[in-house]
Amino acid sequence: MSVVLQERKTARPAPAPVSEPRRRPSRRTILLLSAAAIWILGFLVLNGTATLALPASELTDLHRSLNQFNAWVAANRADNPLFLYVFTPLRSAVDAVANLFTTTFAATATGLRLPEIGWLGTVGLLTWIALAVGNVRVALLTAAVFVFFGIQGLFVEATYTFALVLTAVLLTLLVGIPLGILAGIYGRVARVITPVLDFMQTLPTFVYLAPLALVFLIGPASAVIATVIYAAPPVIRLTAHGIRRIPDNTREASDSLGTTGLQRLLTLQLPMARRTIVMGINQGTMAALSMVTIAALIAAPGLGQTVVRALQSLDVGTAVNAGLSIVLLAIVLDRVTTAASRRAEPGSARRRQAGPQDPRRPPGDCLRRSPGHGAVVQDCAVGGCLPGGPQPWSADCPGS
Amino acid sequence: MNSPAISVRNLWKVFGPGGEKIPGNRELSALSSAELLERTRCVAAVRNLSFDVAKGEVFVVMGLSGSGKSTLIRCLTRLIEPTSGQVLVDGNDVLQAGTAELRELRRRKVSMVFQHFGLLPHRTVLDNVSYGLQIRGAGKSERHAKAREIIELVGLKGYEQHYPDQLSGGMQQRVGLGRALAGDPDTILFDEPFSALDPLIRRDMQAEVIRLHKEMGKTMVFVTHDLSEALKLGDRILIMRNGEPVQCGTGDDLVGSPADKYIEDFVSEVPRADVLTLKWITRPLADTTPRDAAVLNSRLIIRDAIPAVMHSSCPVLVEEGGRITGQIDRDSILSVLQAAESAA
Ligand SMILES: Nc1ncnc2c1ncn2[C@@H]1O[C@H](COP(=O)(O)OP(=O)(O)O)[C@@H](O)[C@H]1O
Ligand SMILES: [Mg+2]
Repeated sequence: MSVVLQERKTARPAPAPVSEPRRRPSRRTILLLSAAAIWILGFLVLNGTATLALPASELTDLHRSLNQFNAWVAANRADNPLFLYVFTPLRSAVDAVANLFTTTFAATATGLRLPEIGWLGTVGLLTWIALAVGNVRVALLTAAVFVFFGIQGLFVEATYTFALVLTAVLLTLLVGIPLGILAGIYGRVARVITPVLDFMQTLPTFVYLAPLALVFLIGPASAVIATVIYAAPPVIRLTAHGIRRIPDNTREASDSLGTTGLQRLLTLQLPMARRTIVMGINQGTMAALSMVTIAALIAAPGLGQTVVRALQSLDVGTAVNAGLSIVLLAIVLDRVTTAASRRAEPGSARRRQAGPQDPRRPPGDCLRRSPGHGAVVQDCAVGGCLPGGPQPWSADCPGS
Repeated sequence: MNSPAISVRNLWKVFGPGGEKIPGNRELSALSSAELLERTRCVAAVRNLSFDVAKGEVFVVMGLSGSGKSTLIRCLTRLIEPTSGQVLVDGNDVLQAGTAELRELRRRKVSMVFQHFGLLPHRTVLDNVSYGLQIRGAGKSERHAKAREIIELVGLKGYEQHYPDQLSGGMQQRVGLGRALAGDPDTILFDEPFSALDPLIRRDMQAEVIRLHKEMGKTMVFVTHDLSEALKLGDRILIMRNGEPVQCGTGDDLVGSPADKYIEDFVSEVPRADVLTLKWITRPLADTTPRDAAVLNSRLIIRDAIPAVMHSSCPVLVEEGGRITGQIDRDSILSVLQAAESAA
């Protein structure tokens, strides 16, 4: 250390300091020049050897070990405990659920290209669901779009896609909502889960199809599992956010009445987070649709397959037609879940009774409709204030 | 005298890392707030506080913003966990209570009204008021019947099916009050319940609290930063500054003999004639005063004594416990009024 210092001391006065910047080229210039020099040297030395195109699928060690693993999986699928007790049952369970929905909405197990309840039955059932969770408008949209699928000859494909989305969304909610609740309540869970979710969302969807197919084989089950991995993060995040966002003073008021943890969850946290959770369901559903379509690559039935097959034979008409159907399905899913989330807003029931009204009242808007004014008048009357005092509605802004 | 409803002894609440060491540490606990913050990065929101609240009393805690009132009142039911000390409710130590015991305390004995109401926006007025009963496990018809009764009591009849955001601030706080009353607790804690309301509504709500207190006789601990509110409602008032008690006494104690400059400033704006009793202006009996002059009680508010004194041609006698303690005349009353005029 002292040596260096001394060197510097002695070296400093020697060169003329004024000319220093001009004489020394900048760091970047040096780097560029040395890169060029190395490049030229490399060209001279290596010219003609090992610079040609790499063989396309030369087996590397990584390849080989992965293929060995694949072979091992194939050989041990039937008796390895991990497969025997975890992966295979999981796969059968997912398959069972997927089968239930596909036979109900898309095509019978016997191979008949008609759902168990008939295609009109499917349209009717889905329209009814849309009406039940949403409103008349989205119900009509649903009916129209599914009839359109029928007219386009894509009914079975579209309903396959729909059934897989439904399966995946149900499983996503089954996993995602409890995890989201835990992450919303316990900061520690959130800290563990967040990096995992980040990782899941960083992975390009293409990447995990192959390993999943390896473990769960190709078909609807691995398609659904891939979809769950893709769709769960938004559901978990939004559920947790909805719970964390509840104002402290509301929570405190609930605690002051002696709520248990479970009571707090059921009477305060879930109802108040409901709207955000439904938004999470909407996001998750849209994610699920895009993933189910891509999962056509691992033999998931549905519109995705139609697109893939049509593209392979450059059948643009069919591909675009199926693509359009995917878009329509996306619109239906989005509209219906959005309508459902509107209805989940607190007090939306009374808004529907009172007629259409913008739910997002601007914050400064203190003037209320007639019930509000009635309220203020009543408030004064109870306390005995005289008419002709300050404007009664000045008291009507809860935020003031 | 019967035992106090709430008894607080040497209560400390220190926010910040390592705060639990401070109350026991002789050197640190003597530091002022600013020094403590600098040395330990801890905030002592409540410092070594002791007081009793008698059954049926309205006990007011007053202080400027940041003086630790909210922290103190939350420590009473451990909504904020106290650092050290003792809180006895009906003789039971709250700090030693287990989870179930604490829940019972919050469910049945002590409830709270909050500054920002803390209503559940997804529930109607009826369901908000009956919330505590639901938590206690009451059946739907039972709790709704009780809640309807309470809603009428707090003057919200007809609004059972409204949602909180359809109500004005004053009405929302009536819901908060109703929710606290519904469980029929012995004690109600108020944390600045009316500071978010505008003055007119605030006055009505204060009247409402006085009425409820008269009708139901509940013990109340009332936090406020508004002196006139404190004087209006409080049987006794505790004044806090930086987490420490400064003075505790009745309203006319505080106004009549402020403990220090801080409280003197606090009460300087108060119309003294409305608060002080005759006790504070009684002079020794003069020989010239006729013994058969009118007699007034020493606890009479000065303003209420004005007509009697002004109509009397001679000084008026003051009695306390049946004994004549002195006399007052027009001059003593006028001097109080004059002081108020010049202060205003
Ligand atoms: N959760 C907390 N963490 C750290 N400091 C706090 C916390 N809550 C309150 N304080 C501090 O404690 C002091 C008293 O606060 P508070 O009891 O809210 O006062 P008041 O209700 O009288 O306005 C303030 O200095 C405040 O900054
Ligand atoms: Mg406060």
